[in-house]
Amino acid sequence: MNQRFFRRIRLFRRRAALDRELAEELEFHRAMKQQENEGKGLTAAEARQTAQRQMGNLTQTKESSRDVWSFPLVDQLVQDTSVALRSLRRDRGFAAAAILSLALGIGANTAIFTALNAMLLRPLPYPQPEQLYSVTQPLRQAQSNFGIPIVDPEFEAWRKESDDFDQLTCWSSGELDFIGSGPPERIMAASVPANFLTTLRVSPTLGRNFTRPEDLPNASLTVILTDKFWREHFSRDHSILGQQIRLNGTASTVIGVLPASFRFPGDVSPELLIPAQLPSQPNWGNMMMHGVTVIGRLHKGITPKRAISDLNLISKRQEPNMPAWLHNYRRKLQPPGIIPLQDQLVGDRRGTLILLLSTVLVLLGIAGANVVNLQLSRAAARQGELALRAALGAGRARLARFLLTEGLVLSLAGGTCGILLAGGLVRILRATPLLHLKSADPLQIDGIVLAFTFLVSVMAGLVCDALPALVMSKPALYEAIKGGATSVFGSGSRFRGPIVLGEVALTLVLLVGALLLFRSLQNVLAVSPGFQRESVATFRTDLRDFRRRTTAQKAMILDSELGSIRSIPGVRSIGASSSLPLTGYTLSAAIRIDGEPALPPGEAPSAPTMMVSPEYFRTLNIPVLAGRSFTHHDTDRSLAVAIINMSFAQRFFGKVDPLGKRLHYGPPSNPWVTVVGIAASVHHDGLEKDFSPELFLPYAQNFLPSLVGVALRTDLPATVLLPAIREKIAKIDPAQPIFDVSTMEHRLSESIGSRRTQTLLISSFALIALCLAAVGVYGFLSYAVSQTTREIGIRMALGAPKGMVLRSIMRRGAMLAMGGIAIGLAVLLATVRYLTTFLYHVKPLDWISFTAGSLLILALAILASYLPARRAAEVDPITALRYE
Amino acid sequence: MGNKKLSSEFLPGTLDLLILKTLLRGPMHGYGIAQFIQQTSEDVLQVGEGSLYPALQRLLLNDWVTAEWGASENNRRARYYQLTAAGRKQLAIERRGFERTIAAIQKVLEIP
Repeated sequence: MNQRFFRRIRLFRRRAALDRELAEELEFHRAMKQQENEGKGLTAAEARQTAQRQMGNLTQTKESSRDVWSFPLVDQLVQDTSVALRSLRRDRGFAAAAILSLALGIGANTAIFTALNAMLLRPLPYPQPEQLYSVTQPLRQAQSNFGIPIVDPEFEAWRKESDDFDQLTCWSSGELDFIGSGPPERIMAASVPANFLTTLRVSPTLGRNFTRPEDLPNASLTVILTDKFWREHFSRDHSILGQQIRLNGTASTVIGVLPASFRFPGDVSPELLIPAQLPSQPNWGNMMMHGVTVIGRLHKGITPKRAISDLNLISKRQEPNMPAWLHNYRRKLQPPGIIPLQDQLVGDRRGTLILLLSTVLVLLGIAGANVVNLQLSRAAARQGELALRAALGAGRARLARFLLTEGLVLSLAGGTCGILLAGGLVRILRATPLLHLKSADPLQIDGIVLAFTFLVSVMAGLVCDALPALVMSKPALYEAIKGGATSVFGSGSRFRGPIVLGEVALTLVLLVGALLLFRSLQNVLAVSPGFQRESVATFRTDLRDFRRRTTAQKAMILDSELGSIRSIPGVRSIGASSSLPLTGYTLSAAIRIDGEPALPPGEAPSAPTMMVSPEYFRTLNIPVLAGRSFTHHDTDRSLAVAIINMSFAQRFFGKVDPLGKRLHYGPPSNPWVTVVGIAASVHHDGLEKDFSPELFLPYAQNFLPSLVGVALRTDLPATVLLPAIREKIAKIDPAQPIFDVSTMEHRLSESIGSRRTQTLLISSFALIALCLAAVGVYGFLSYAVSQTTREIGIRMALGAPKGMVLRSIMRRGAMLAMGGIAIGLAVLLATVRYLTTFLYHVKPLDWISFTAGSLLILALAILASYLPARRAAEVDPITALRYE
Repeated sequence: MGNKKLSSEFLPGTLDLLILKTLLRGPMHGYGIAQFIQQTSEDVLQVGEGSLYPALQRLLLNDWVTAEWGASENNRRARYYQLTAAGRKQLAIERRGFERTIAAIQKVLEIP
């Protein structure tokens, strides 16, 4: 059988030659017959005719001989396709409209599927990724699984005692100073135990992994570079192994380089790995405060459930060793949970992804409806052609297959254009912060995505063309050929009304959704951040603890740096804070108001705390509403003072006037501070975030963390000032890095970047939908008008004025739109609440968005019906009636 | 891929059998095969071109015959079919099958 199949394929490839041979053979046969007839005494002409007649239908003989060795189905497909191409070329306008509709629908779906594939479907780039789990500890009131880091002694206890895991590892990230050939740089590093890479089953391409001794506390520093860092700083020089680089001023030996394909399994992209050097025994007396993210590879056959209950048992045994404050703190936490690493990495982006996915699916529905509509009108218009084909012997199945082939050609063309469109969309998704793309999921259109697009195209082709094909392949032969156009009106057209209604309804859903998001964005943009946003340049710097400077020394260095930067022409004012707005908080302290009882550690309320320079409030234009700002007279020899923000005053003092009151922050050794001023609250974490109670302290009176943000009021662009600033700082400390240079304006715009992209994307989808729906309404009415020309002619002949005809068609358009709007509103009422989490200060049932969306669609539908209506009004009764 | 046109006149597969049997005598072209069958059966069996050529293609595809262009009796280019070893074997198989069928039919007909 198999052998025969291959022989057949071989023959199929030679089919032109075989056809020729067959023809020659049959001609020989005919000639012999002719000769035979001549032998019977017929004349040459008679013999020839008789032979011809005796041979019967030569074409049929040829075809059935050919069918023996050829593939009739393939032949037919090739034939159908070429006929389809020919007929589409004749109908360029239709083909272009259908391909464009499909391209938009399929393209949008391909782009979003690319993201879905990268984030949810594609397995993590590690061997046996399904064994990898993330252990997290959610807050008690939080709904989600995505918790806070695990304290490191707890991890150490787990690693030591649990035997459910093949490997249990962790990571934490931080920034380091690196001095290469250029100015000092700030780079992201991850500190990981020696078993980190073994857990992921990744090995360095160059050099080796950390050894256990290198991972012990106080071992001399070693480092593994990422391919990116190796390329950018050492031009992939292989001799880097064994060399030393300076990290935070400490010499560290390069022992390995990671493969270029390595993706870090977290929401950061560190440039290098350093050993975590955790103690091998849980050391509760000396824990790292920022904790670690725990990743484990489960043994085969161990369920995650069992693993996590074992881990909880181990934690329980450790409880007596935990410090008291941690005990109290742990009450706010749920017990640790375990989720697949992939889910942990997708995190809260799932919502955005689902929103986008539903949007593009709706868009595809609208595009599909449009194509069905186009196909129906076209099929109606070519009823004559189809009838002719049927009359010439094409069966119904043959006609349906022909129409379907045509549909598939269209949808595959649409899919191909869609992939090009998706390429552009993917670029947008990649460039914007919308999906917070993590290092583990680069977006790319790969084989799976292409297969998806192919599948969607074929399905769209089948769905959008099966209906018209089925309806239209049953032509009323006689009626159609007779040429009575009105007599075929009705077949298929009963589907068209509901299709247009559905199209309008879906468009309304998209449009109202987009309007809600748009209004949310507007609301966010209208929020005043509470601080100066224009003409503020910012950067961050690191006063570097590792030189073991005292706080006083650091304050002195910072003072003189701020002073010398202020002297740069163009700088009007300069302020510094341990955390500038929009750069997160670095410090948080337990708060106790004078007169209130001391709560046990871990139970006291806490508030973000910022160490600031005296000019901080003036530079950022944050009003001090009561009391005074800090001055240079607030030093370590004067009264310890504090400024609180309005939110802090409300939270901790209620109705009492805070001015002059004393409060205590942080560890017991800190002094009591007196509130001397109340500042206005600012949106520290972004425009959408609520105010937090904040405590400001002059850094001259307190400790100064090494990481400091500096803000300058200047009309010059930050890039112009930067060289001068670098120069001034290098004069004081040549090794001090300056990084994260930006403007407040830019930081604000970045903080809403993801909302902006989301709104932009969904609004564009809604606009496309609107155009498609308008085309749908237009197409439907044009068709209706063209089919009822005679009726209109009669009405006009009987004296109906043009205006009346015009109005009656436009009324039909408006009714259609209103019907669609009614359905759309019903769908919205049922579904709009799913949008709540994406909205800002807009209720899901926002009447403005609902009204605006409905009116917009109604207006567009009336506009789209104007052209067909005018065509109807211009019908000349005489021509219309004579035409029949 | 049965030949329906034939089944009304012949038992299925009979044409193949007749062609193979004819070729046992030596290579022959399509016209010659048709002529031979017609003459030998004294005009009882008429082989139409519509059945003959598809059957020849089928035999070719199964490698039971090979085809080669040669000169005919009157010096025209003709395609000569020749039995292969597999064809001989097939002829024996089909012949046995045919004889069994005929015998079976005979038995049915002889019922008094």
